[in-house]
Amino acid sequence: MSPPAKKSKAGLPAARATTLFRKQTKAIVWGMQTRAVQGMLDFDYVCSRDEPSVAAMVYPFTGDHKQKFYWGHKEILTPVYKSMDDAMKKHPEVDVLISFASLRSAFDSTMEAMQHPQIHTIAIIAEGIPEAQTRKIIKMADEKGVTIIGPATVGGIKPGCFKIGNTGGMLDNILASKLYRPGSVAYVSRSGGMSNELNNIVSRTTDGVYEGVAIGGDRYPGSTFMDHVLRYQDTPGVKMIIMLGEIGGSEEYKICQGIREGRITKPVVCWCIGTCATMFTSEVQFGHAGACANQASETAVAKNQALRDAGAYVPKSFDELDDVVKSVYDELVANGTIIPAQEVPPPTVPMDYSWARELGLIRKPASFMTSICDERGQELIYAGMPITEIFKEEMGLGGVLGLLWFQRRLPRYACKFIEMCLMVTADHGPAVSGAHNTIVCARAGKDLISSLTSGLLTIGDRFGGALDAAAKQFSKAFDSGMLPMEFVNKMKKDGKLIMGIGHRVKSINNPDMRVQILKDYVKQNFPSSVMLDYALDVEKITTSKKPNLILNVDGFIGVAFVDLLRTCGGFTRDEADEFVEIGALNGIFVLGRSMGFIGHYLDQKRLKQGLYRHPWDDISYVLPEHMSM
Amino acid sequence: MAASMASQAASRGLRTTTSKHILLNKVKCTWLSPRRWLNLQEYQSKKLMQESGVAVQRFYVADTASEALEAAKKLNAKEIVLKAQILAGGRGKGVFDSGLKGGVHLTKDPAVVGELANQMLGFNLTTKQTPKDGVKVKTVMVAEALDITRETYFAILMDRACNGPVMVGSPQGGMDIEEVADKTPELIFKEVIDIFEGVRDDQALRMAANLEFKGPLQRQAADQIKRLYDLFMKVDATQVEVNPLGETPQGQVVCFDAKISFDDNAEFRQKSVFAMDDMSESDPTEMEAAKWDLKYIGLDGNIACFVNGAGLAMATCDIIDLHGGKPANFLDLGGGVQERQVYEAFKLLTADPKVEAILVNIFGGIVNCAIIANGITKACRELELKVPLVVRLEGTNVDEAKRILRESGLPITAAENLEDAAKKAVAAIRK
Repeated sequence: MSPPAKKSKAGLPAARATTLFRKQTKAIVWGMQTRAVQGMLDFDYVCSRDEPSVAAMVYPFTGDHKQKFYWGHKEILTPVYKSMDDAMKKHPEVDVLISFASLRSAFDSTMEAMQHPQIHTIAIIAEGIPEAQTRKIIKMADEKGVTIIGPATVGGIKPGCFKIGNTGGMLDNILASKLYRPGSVAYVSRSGGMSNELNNIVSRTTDGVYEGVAIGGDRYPGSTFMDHVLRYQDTPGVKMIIMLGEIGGSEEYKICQGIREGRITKPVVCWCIGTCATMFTSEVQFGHAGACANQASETAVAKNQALRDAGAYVPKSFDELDDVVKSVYDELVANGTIIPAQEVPPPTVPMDYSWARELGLIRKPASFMTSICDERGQELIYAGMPITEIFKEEMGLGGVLGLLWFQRRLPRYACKFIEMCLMVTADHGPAVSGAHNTIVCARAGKDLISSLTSGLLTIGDRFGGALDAAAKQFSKAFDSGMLPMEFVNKMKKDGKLIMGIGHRVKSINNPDMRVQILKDYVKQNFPSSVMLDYALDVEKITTSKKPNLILNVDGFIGVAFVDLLRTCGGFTRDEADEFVEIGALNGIFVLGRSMGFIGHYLDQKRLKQGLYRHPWDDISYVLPEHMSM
Repeated sequence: MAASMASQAASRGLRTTTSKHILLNKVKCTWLSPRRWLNLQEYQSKKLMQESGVAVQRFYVADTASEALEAAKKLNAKEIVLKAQILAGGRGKGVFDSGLKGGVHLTKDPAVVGELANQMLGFNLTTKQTPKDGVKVKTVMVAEALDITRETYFAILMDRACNGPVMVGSPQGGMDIEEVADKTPELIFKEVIDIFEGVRDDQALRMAANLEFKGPLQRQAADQIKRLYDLFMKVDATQVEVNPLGETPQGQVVCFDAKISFDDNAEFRQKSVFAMDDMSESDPTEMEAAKWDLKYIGLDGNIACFVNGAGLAMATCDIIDLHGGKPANFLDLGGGVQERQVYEAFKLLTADPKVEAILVNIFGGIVNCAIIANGITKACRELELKVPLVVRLEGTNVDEAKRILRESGLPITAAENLEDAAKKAVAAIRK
């Protein structure tokens, strides 16, 4: 790193450096702008820089850590510091700060940065910094000899050396405008948008950009057109200069003066945009805060004329800017001032996966699939139905369950039936194994999820799992054409229990009201209930043997659900069977009973129940009498 | 134009500031006023001044006639001035739709204030600067009318050339300062302020002396100058212009009228000031655009422009102008354009009956042109675009974007470059 060309004498403002960026320049980026940093690193890579230009990042809102970036094909780690002080101390080679601080914090962070003498250039991206603050920044920068680029800018670019943030756009643009190697033309503009346009024009008409800076759209840019034009004048590699001015302010007149006085000797192509403003009767403030003519001399038309008179190359309109640039360039080539260099193809930077995908260049099989829910769009969608419509249609919980479990919009009676099933299975007291487990767990001081899952884990063949099993057994028997009597006999012969038959206390004389309610509903609303009828025939036989061998709630829901799936018209027979096969029915019990378990959990907490310990007298200790060897 | 009415009216403490821009070519100062500045009513400005200890006439604000009457009595002044509060100038010569003439009335009798206010409040006041139907008056200001023995001009502003605040003053107050600068430039005094230091005592005293305040008034004026500077910094003003800064027969230095321009950028830290902004006189389209983070300014032409980046937007307007067209607006989508923004922007443009053609000019730097193209086609279909559309896209992924537009089957005219686009847009209107 060469020493900067500045030494401050007492009282006199320090001189600013002519060369802001080199192939070795290192910067600190303020702000977590990973995309911009990756853009800078990709640029560095196509420029064949030896090392990335971003040495570190500063971000006060997280702790010190490392951020991953790509350097060509390789992955590298860039340190992120909470404190600017640390970053500066650890990276003394850094002399550029690129500040992505917000308009609220840009002032403080910029002033802080200027306290570090190693910093010679600061780019401020934020737009909308209060004027009184910008004034202070500029005054301090003048005293310290710091070059400020911005505020309200995209930054600047020096092909082959350095790129500020998002300048020049994405890599495609950088390559298209050949910004990876220096040309002979340097430009200065106000806005970033126009610098894209200039990169494009310069690359088409000349040997390319040597350096380009966008000073920003604020009324008071930290560095001016003249500051940069003079730098370009004093930089041997720059053979011609382009200045894209704007309506408002009088900066452009300094260029005129510079040309007249012989301070600027290189050819300067100039254009001031905003020529149309003169045709409006009212005064117009164009987007840039500074773009407003307050007197005749500040209009674009007047400034273009003055520049032309001073000896700058000024086209007749912006349209013709490229023609003028080309003719000036061609002349410089003809007279030997510019000798175009041999083109060397830049190294390729691998394309980002996401970008390649956006461009449609690659495809890859997804490792994850879904067919029931899409949260990416404007609105949440359940199996093709937007959430607003679900509410508009009053689909209810049963309807939502139909969409998410069966991918179908079920008929209203079916939705209601599902809801009824959930209601009757919601709880069955604290004594059943699941509730018991939940309670014990809750009393051990565990959280809701632990207590709930502790209860859910008991659900299986013996507890609650009869729905599935009943549905499978009954439908298998029915489908094979077995008469109810044959079925009962076969099960007896095989020594198997008929799932869904039998209740501890309820009996034919003391019916289970839950089953009664559901039965009435199915009889009244289902188009067909052949499976239920079959199960009821079986019940007749079993209850004749023992009054409590009734079709219990599990068995009822199991068979009625098979009826529902087979006859509601939404499913083919194979689909209906598949749902039973993959455990949809068990899901009803799990979902329903979760309500109860959560209730028990909350209840125990509310009752402030302490740790449960099973009483000794309720345990029979039957250990071997004595273990003699 | 203001000079003639100024001397007479101002001596009574009437508001005389015109909306015309003041240009001090001679002293190389540039007055800057962004087009959509925050506009404050007179009483709001005066309240801000009062809070900073600046001497203003005693006043009250009233929303009803009875309040106004009450205020007039409370003032207990030799003479009272009643002023309708609207943003537009020319109030003195305005007419109410109640029949009352003049938005500013002087009286020695507090009893008539209620009656006068009754004919102001709730009625529309039409002046040279208001729309034809006038502006509804919701508030009146009841103030003590003071005599002025001498008028001076004083202003503080942010100056580009001096890189900081500058005070400008002239003993020739109460009249058009532009004229003063033109005819007697030696009577304009300028004092550059160090923004870190603020106004130094010697600077304030020197300015007071230059304004020709004599004896004890000089110190009083210097004190007012420092307080005005405090106000200037405190509210993030870009300009505080006091005209006239006068002296009364009782030996007081008083700021009779002031115009404060604010820095839009400072809105985030001047919440209370910006909360006073009366948006009812603002353009609804501009406000809608701001919602979507679009910078929109309505112009009087017929070609709608749709551009990313303020500079490019300006260049686009230029080239339309060059080829004989007139832009209907200035619309800047900013750097990171989103599909939704494109859609909303189109909605704004198509809602404007003046628009006869739309020109899109986008250079996709960090933005994917295909996103823009998708936004355009979607907007065209959903909004059933009726006017010709010319599109010039350049930059990232432009080929894909062009393909999307080409294959959309929509009547979109593609342009190769900016010039081509402008020519095609102008031609589309002539058809």
